[in-house]
Amino acid sequence: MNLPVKLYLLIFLVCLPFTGHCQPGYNALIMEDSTYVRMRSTKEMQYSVTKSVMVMNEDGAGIADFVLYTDPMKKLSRFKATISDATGQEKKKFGIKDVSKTEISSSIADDNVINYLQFKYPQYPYVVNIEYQVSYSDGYLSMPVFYPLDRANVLLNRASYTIEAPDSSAFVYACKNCNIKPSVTAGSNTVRYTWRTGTVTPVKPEPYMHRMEDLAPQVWFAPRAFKAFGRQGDASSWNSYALWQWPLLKERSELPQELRQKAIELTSGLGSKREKVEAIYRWLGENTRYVSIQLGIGGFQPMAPEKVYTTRFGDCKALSNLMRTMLEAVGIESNYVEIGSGRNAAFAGNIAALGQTNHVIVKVPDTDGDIWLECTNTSFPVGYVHSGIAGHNAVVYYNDGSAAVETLPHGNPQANYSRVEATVNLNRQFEAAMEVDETYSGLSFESHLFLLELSADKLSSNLLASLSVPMASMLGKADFKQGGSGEFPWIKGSYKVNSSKYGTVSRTRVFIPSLPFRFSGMSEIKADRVNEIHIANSTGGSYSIRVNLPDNASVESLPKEVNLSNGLGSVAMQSKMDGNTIIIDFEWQFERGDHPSSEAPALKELADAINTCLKSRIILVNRSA
Amino acid sequence: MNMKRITTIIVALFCIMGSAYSQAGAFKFGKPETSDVSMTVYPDDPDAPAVILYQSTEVSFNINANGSFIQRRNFVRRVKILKEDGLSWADDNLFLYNNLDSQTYLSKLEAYSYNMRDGKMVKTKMGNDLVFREKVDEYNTRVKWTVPDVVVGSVVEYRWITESTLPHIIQTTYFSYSIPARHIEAKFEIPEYFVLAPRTSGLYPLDIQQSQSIGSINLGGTPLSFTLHKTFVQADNVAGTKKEPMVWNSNRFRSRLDFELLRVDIPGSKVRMFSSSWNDVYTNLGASEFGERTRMGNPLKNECEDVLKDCTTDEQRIRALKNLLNSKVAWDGEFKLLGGMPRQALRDGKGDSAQMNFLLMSMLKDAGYKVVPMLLTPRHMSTMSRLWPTLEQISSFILKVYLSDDTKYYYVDATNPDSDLNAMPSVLLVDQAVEYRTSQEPVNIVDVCSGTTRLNVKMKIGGNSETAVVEVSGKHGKQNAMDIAEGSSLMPSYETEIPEENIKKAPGEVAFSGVFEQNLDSSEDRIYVPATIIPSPFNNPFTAESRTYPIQFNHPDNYVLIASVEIPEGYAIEEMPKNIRLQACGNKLQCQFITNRIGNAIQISFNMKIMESSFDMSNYGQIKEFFAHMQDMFDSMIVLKKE
Repeated sequence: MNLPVKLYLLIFLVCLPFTGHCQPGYNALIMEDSTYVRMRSTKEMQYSVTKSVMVMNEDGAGIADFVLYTDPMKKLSRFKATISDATGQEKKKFGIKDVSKTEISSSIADDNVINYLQFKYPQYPYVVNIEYQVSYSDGYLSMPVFYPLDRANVLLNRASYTIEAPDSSAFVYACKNCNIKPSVTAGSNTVRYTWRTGTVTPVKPEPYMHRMEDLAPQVWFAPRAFKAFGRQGDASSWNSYALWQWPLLKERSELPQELRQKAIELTSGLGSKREKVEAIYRWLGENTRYVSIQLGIGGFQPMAPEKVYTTRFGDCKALSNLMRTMLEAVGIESNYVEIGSGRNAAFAGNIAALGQTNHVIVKVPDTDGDIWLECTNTSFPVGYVHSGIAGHNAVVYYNDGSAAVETLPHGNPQANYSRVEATVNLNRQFEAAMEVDETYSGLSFESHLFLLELSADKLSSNLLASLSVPMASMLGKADFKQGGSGEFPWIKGSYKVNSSKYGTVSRTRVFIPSLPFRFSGMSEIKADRVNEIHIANSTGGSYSIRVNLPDNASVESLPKEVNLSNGLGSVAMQSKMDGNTIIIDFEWQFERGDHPSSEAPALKELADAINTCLKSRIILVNRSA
Repeated sequence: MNMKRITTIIVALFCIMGSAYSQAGAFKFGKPETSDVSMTVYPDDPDAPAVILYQSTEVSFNINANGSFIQRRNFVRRVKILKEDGLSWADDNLFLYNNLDSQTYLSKLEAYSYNMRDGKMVKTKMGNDLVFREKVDEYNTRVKWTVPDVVVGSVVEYRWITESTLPHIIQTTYFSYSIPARHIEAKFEIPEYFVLAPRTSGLYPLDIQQSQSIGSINLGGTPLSFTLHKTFVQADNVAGTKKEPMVWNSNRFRSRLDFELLRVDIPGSKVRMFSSSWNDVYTNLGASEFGERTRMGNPLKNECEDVLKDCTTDEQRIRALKNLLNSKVAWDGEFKLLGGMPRQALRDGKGDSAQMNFLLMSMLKDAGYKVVPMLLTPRHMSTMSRLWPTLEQISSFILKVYLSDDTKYYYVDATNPDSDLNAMPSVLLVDQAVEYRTSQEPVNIVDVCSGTTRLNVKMKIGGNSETAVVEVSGKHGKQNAMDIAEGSSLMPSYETEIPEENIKKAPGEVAFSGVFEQNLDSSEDRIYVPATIIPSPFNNPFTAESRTYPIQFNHPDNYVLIASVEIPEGYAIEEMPKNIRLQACGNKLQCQFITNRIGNAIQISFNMKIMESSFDMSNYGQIKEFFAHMQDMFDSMIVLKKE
């Protein structure tokens, strides 16, 4: 065991009697994480990683596990590890033969091999030391990222990342969420750059906070010159990288005559660019499916349009490229766009660090505003920028072979709403006949899109489960459809429900929900918050409920009025009687933005008010009981 | 039996086989019906995303170049894609198992799609470039494929043939899937040398038709004739499997056909006998390393003596030994029957379930206990058949530890440090396990592993009548404590969670206490208090009209709540919930709710007992009604009115 491990264990054990519990406030301590990269040539690179992790409890156990994806270009060339107990005694050694390998994958085919080794020890804390080396001998396009702390509740003691390169121009780098300056040492034939972090305190997870990737320090790297799949490239910027990527696209731009003719047929007689885009996009959705095959250069080069046409499937690259080439066939310029979907919203500088992107979409430049196309899921209408990519940086490949980073627009805040209207007719037995109309737009549209794919039975079960009304049954079939366009897609649905037990009957009283829907409510907000408040999207909604009472019912209590508005959002609830009808109107709105943690009381006030409204009940008296 | 009757039976048998095969004969690979390709809705299930139009499995035997038997499995499937959800049926895969002793090869794979375009049927062949192999682990390779030109409306068809040098092991054949099936059939022609007994299981009964004929092979230039045992099973118009709550593993209800291997008796080779009774299973296991490991010595002798020094009861002694093992070995997450070498787990600090239970067994035996492995298959994997004892259906074991007087015992599993005597990870709570070398019938373990919960609740209503202070203390015992360790949330759901420091966890027990503010419904002159004060921990899962699968509770349970509400000054009771006493399913479900006014307080007593874990579907009506009444009780209110 090396000295630092002993030292940490000593400190930990000395501290134990004073802390009383083995609960240091974090799940694992990364004592050391150092990466040493040797760039030998444009085709050859090695990197070695040395890592020491002290696992404090069960939740931290996974942090020490070894998982490495390799492929035909990237091999695990050396591996050793040890596990030590709390006294610092080494309990077991592991070698490369202990690392399991599997090619199992959720896609139909890819080149990845997952190398993994799970460390388990019966008593906490324990320490895992790992050293491994990864070698590239036949080209590489990307370099490992310096991202030593990628999850919450982990304390990082120190980390370093060194690149040994023939000269300082061999690579480029860009910092994200930090401004770490490297130390530089010049050797006889090489130059060494080293980045270091000191202690990074654990991130405490809280609702409404930034994602780890937006908080944790990272340094991304890219080779200035590389050779992969027999082709020379330069990843120092996205524009220079395009010189490698664009020919791959160009080779896949040939459209078979039949498909060219199809594009022309689909768009003949249509006037505007948008109409033509919509026609081809719709055809694409109806005639292709998503299948992921990523083998060799196929991880970077789309399948040929002809192949997509004959197989009727493709991955995001293939479907987007087919869209692009079909648009080209009818004279509409469009661009192939690489993006990080669901992650890496902001790129680290302008270097072509490829690990930042995982998806391809299409941009159609337009004077009325660029049109973005999600060819992998054509349920999203033309021009709708979904939440997985909204506001993200993206690499746009222009048809002259250049590329630049553009930022996709955020969704229109006005578009994100849910609107539910329900009329409830109660009879003398307090059985209910409900008629519900729902409209979901923007982000709510996205989260309700799955309803359209459900069979009638499943849709019915799903809707009934969304009601807080026991013993409910669907009357006829629910009718849901999608519509709208561009920034304002919507799903509208209506259905009728009968319930033999609309509320809670308690002898002479009936307790009925003000809002007869099942809500998860807002997460508990603590006033003593640590993290900045991050409201990722503006969202809002309204519920309008009308309850028609039978003649044997009288109202004993209605929900109290709520009316709250602060810098983060607003909530309002009114209830009143109109003849024999109870009218409940509930509205809320959140505004996208970042706020200091000191505003947590305002967020808590808002969350509490919303939760109160959601749980509120109307109390009726059954006069014939 | 006279000759006339035999003749009648044979004729009848041929008629049955004839009609059974006639449907198979009507199927022609590569020639789907135009009506199927044009179909837009499957009439028997209009919501189905896809339907298996036809599926057949044929298993036969050949001799390879080495003169050894090989098993040939010929599989054909035709599927109609009806909705976008069904497109995934255009992709499929199969596993090939290979080790030093046996190989499974894929000798043929072809696939097509069919679409109606401009009134004509267009047939598209899958090329070899759409067939992929991935190495899953040392022994398993997965072959995956995706059929081209598939959109909503397509018919997809494929067939494959595998050949295996392990002729005596016949894979399970399923007759129900997540989508409906119009026709599924399976045909097996097995030489007399492999004595295999067909067994069906699942919710829908399958009819096995058997016959015999004469087969022959050329064995080293010598023709060899033998009896060919034929088995034919078919299922028509099979509904897709359902998802229902309170089912441990719905896969076990799928209709399936397995072959139990009884004997291999190939001319010129030694006869190999396989299990046909539990005694055979025990004999085979006893002769294997399993038997040796049940007799292993205690590798932690000295440490065991140390930890047992201060123990006075059997329970303390068993727990102490288990704790000692758990401090030495962490479970690696694998359930095994044999697993790695037990002593190696001590050296590694981690081990599989078999390693850990063999070690604990040696420690307990050394401490003077009689310990017997309980052989089982965890819930999530499959289920053990009561009728056909085979080694293949056992994949793990736990321990049965007899106490000194040999009549009382505990079930113990070593893998989880939070488990206890008669309380273990829920996947091990099975209704069928066999006691090694003892039982001749599977026994129920789950019903021995009951959970207990006892809650004490006191409510004091505040001056504003909208909030109350609630003091809660309680204990989750036995299996319920284990469930909590596994992540189940049995804690009362409060707006504020119980502080971590107020929760005391130990194997077999979780104690907690807390004080909370609770919002109440109120009006100008009334306060409404929920009947059990704290929210119901039970969500009624039995709201569906009908039920397909048996009802399976996680385990038996006993929930007791004692509560009191202080009536605030100036208020009087206007309305109290009804007292109820419910029972169902032969008193195996019980519930009692009683309220009383005692002085200035209302006393509430609630008790619910689930005495057995599994109930047949025929009980659904009673169970539904029982839970609906109980829900009504939870929904009812105490109404206090200003005087």
